[in-house]
Amino acid sequence: MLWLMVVLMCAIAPQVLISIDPNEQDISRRCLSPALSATDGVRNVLGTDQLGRDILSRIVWGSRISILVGAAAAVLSVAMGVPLGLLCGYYGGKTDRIIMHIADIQLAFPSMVLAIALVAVLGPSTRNMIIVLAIGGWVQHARVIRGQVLSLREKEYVKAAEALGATDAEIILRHLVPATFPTILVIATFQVAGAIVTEAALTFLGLGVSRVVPSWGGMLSDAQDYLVTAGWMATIPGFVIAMTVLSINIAGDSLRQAFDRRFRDR
Amino acid sequence: MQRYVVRRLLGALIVAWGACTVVFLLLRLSGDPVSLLLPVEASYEDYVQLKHSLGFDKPLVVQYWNFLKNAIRGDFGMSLRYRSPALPLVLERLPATFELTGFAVLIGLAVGIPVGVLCAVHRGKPIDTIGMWLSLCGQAVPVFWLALELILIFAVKFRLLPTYGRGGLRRLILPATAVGLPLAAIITRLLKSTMEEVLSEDYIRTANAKGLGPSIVLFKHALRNAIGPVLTIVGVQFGSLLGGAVVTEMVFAWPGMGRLLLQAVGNRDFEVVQAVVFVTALLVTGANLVADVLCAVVDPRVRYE
Repeated sequence: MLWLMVVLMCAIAPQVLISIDPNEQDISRRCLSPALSATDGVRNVLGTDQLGRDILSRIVWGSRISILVGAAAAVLSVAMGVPLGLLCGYYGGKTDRIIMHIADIQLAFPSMVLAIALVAVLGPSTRNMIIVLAIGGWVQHARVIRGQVLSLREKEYVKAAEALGATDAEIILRHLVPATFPTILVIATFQVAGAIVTEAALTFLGLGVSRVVPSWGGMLSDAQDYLVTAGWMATIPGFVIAMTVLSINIAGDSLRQAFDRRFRDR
Repeated sequence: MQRYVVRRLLGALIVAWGACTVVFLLLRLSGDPVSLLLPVEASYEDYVQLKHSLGFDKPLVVQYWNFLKNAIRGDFGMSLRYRSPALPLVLERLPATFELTGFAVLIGLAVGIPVGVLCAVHRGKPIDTIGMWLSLCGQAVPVFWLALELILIFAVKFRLLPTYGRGGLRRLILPATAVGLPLAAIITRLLKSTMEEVLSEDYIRTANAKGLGPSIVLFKHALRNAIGPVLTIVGVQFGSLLGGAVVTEMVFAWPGMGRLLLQAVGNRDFEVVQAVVFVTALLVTGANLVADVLCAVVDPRVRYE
């Protein structure tokens, strides 16, 4: 949790936390290993990369891209998947069958390969990557929400609302959406973690965000050529990604448990 | 069973068709693929000529019909980079990818099953806690970072294993471990929970009560009943294994399908991208089918209509 707070703070206000410019190059200071003591008056706690840029600063600034892409992709998947899930579950029929077939087809296909193929077509950029990740993520929401709505529809309070003459829109917005909200939140949390990893992987492969912007995946990609001389260049950003994903996953797990408990207590 | 297999195979074809259609449509709708293929200094005449020779001047429906007609015959067009048919190019690389993912599955099972069983047997003890934490971390670690760290440790530091190319077991170990360890983490968690369930069943108590040795009870009675979901999850995870293999192949210069895909993306060689998408879809659905059939073989209670 603490880790997650730090990462979020880094993403919101990197300039407050660190004064070194992440893009400032200094060839004379390249590939310095992590050290607490200062060399030539500047302290590079986590060392420097092949262009002499400060790794800590790049990690802090790189959190922006990860958090932005992760959160935006999750929000967009919710925006695409939840309405479809609600409609499929509530109305059923032919639309439901078609959409669920599409979902099945997509689920059978590896998301990483799909993402690469889509980026190939759309071209690499931050915006396109968010779109690609959201296309990969809507299915989960649509399927799970549909399933929930199918069972919620049979509940007394929904039947009561129907009997009182509530319109479909009222039932969906006032009763079904609030009831499915915990599920949406839990799925979206895990999706943020997944999106961060896929973003880093795509950027690592040169298919993601531009190399000018500091990003964790880009740092790992740079590090590849310097494994022998500067191993920390790979170890540090990878560790940061893994810790971030781990803490988001744990947060998702605790959210789910908290909601389950509340549900049981009712 | 036969009817089930045939139906599933048809399903696999539908998935492959759907995936190809998506790539086809996106390619045509998201701009002009012809201008992407031409060099910057190309003239308008070159443009028109290439557009005609690739069939891009025909209406979309006609293009799609031609695409489907050719795809059924296994013809995905010529690779612009390699100047040879796209599908055989992909199939040529398939054995390398199979070798990598197959070995990765073996590593996943070889690590995941013992650790999962250990955690279930020693439930609540330190060994269980450690195992569960390790598997939680294993699921959070990005494959490509794992690959880099393995290189750092086993190739750079201890100089034990080679880091690039294909050929022999020594070159296979590092990439397969990078792809296989996240799978091991998933198998550990799953097997632990199914084993715990099975170990509390009546027939295990009966087996213990009639004086069978603990290892016979554990492996013959418990593990055999708990292994079904593991096989299913290997089938389900095959897709993400392939995804992981794409990145890993790039890191280790492994001459497989994933590296071909990335090179094709870099060269804007869309025919090859389409062929890879088609083959991947067939592979993933095929792997799920194999997992389901294996499930029925291992556990005779499983019957498919």
